[in-house]
Amino acid sequence: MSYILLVEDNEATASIIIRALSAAGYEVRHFLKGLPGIQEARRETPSLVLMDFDLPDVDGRTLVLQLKKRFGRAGPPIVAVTARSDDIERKLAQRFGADAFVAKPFDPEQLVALVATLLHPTEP
Amino acid sequence: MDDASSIRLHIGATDITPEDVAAYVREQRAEHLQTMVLTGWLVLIYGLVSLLLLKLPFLYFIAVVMGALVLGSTQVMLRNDHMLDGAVWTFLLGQIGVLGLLLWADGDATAIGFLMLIPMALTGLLLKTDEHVIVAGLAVGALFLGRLHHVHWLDALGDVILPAVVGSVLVLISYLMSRRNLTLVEWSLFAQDKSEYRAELFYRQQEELRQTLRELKIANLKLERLNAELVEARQVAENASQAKSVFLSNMSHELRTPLSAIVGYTSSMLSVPMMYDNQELPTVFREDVELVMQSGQYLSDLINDMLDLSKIEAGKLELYCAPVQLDEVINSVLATARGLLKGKPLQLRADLPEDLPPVWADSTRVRQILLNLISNAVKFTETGSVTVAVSVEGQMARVAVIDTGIGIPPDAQATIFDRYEQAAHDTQRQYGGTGLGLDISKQLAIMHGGDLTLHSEVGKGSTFAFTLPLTTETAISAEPDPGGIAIFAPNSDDLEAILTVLVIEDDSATRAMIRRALEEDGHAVIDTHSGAEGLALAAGLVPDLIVLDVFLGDEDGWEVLAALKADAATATVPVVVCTVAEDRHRALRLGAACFLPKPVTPAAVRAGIHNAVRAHT
Repeated sequence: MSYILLVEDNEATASIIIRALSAAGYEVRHFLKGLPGIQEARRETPSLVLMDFDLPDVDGRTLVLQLKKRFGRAGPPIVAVTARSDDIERKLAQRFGADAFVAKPFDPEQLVALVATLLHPTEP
Repeated sequence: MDDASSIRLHIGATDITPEDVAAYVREQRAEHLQTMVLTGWLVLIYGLVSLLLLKLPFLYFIAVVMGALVLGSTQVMLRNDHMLDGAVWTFLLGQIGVLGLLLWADGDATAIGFLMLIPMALTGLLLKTDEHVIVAGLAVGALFLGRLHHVHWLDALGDVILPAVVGSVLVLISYLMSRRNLTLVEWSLFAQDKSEYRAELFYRQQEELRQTLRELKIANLKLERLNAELVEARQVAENASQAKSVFLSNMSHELRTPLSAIVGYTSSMLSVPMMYDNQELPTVFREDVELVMQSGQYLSDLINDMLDLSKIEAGKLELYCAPVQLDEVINSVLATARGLLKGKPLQLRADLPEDLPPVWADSTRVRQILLNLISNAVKFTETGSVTVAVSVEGQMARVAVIDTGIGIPPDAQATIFDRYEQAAHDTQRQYGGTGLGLDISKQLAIMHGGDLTLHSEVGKGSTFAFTLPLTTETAISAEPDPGGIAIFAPNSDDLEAILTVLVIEDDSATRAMIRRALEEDGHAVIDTHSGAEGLALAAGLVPDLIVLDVFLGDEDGWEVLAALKADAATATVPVVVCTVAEDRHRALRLGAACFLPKPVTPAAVRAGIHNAVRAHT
């Protein structure tokens, strides 16, 4: 099981996610900006990607698309993390290839549950 | 004025002066004299021959010799230019002398009388009129003297009358001829004067024209210099504006980061015990921590508003428009607003027509406007209702937020949308809010192509209304929000159809237009104004397509193109180059997949993308 790639520019949000997932036993690699994150993903394929949609340098949607195109169906699940919870954003995330969607603010417990479901789909 | 002499300089060799005429006349005289002398030689030879044949007395031989002398000396004098006068007189007087002598020696007056007419006639060609009279007089005198030797003076007088008359007529004729010639010369000189005058006029006009042209050139140069200065000043202003934007963007990040820590952590402390080893926050701390969180939230809102406002002011706020179903957005905002009621006995409702067509708008910003208006309405209304009513007016949808609140007095109405003007301070403190919301809402409404208006009556309530353009495109329908986390069904759409496009374009209007054209076709767009940043993005992202403008302000787009093709990571990405038509071959030679002619239109962008993708696969 490889690492979880987290691309999130908000420190507080990132800290919450890291703490929650680490407590659940996962290794999280955190990047504040999109391009370094994508480079890391190319260097070593992650098990799962948590991508913030509101990144300052590059549009998160585009990064999701690029990652999905690169890794394909067999690649890691990609979760879009966004500040907007409206359905338009949701549809966009889906259209750009995200496998799941998390709106801020979220319940960290639910996030961990989501990650678990995505990483071990056959487990009950 | 030295114009006259300068004109002379200009007209030059064709100038004719009276001196030229005189010189010409002298030349003619010399020529005539030469001809006469030659003729004289022939006559002399004839005389000599007849003298010998007719066996005339010795006297005639003397006459021939004298004639030869006259002719000879005339000829000699003719060689010298300034002895011309002497030659003429010698010739004429010589003839008169010889003939007079002959008459004196031999008495036959008739023949001599006829012969004497010759010099009288020739004088007309050689001398002026007054001199002509003298010669004629001398000739007549010589005749008279010659006859006198043979007859009584009265008879001699009678003999010379006829020659005298003929001589006078000859003088008259030559006088009249010379007058005519003189008139002709005068006329030509006059004509010359006229043309000289015209030439002077023309030259003066030319000078004036040249002067005007010089002045024009100077004015042009000044204009060019002014233009250059303006371009420079504009560049300075743009740089300053750019620097301000960068500063704002940095400050925004600097301000937001600690604030999100404040809000995030306090919120977690209050509601996410899992983060703290599952320990709940003790009740005694809760109220204070809540206050910290609310303060942080308020600060965060204020900063967001201020940044929005300065972005709008700088013209840097961009709208991401799409077809939007207003009813979904309105219902969603109303649901959020219910949380603001805090127990007030207010009705929140929506009044929406059936079959409301979608509007072309940025849903986030519409939400922002609605939330601002609705939260204001809720704040200032104690009882009654807050209604969001939508109506279709022509090509626009009118969204009105109607409340039954305290209303706004007319003087406050006048300044309520004004930048930097806020309502009286107590209103601010009493009702909260950042005070900037209405300003931002109005600007956003205007940016969408509509406006935000107010109608209010104190004690009755207020109606804030804004308009949005309708669109015929179908909107993505929204579903109620189940809580923020969802797993999507496996996406059956072909991701390959969606392109990741990197747009490197200096001009913000063009950039926005290209982005809109691409996003409307469903592609993902990343844009930048900087070539250097574009190269970094291209290398990091490896997009499906790059749209590159060769004019990138300070940077050279051609260099960027070359760099893209030189880097192995980006070399295979098709590049659509945006440039003027003349450079198309250069673009294609440097590796561009396709080129977009300037000025760029959305249709051209689509076609260019289509071609580039087709060529690539």
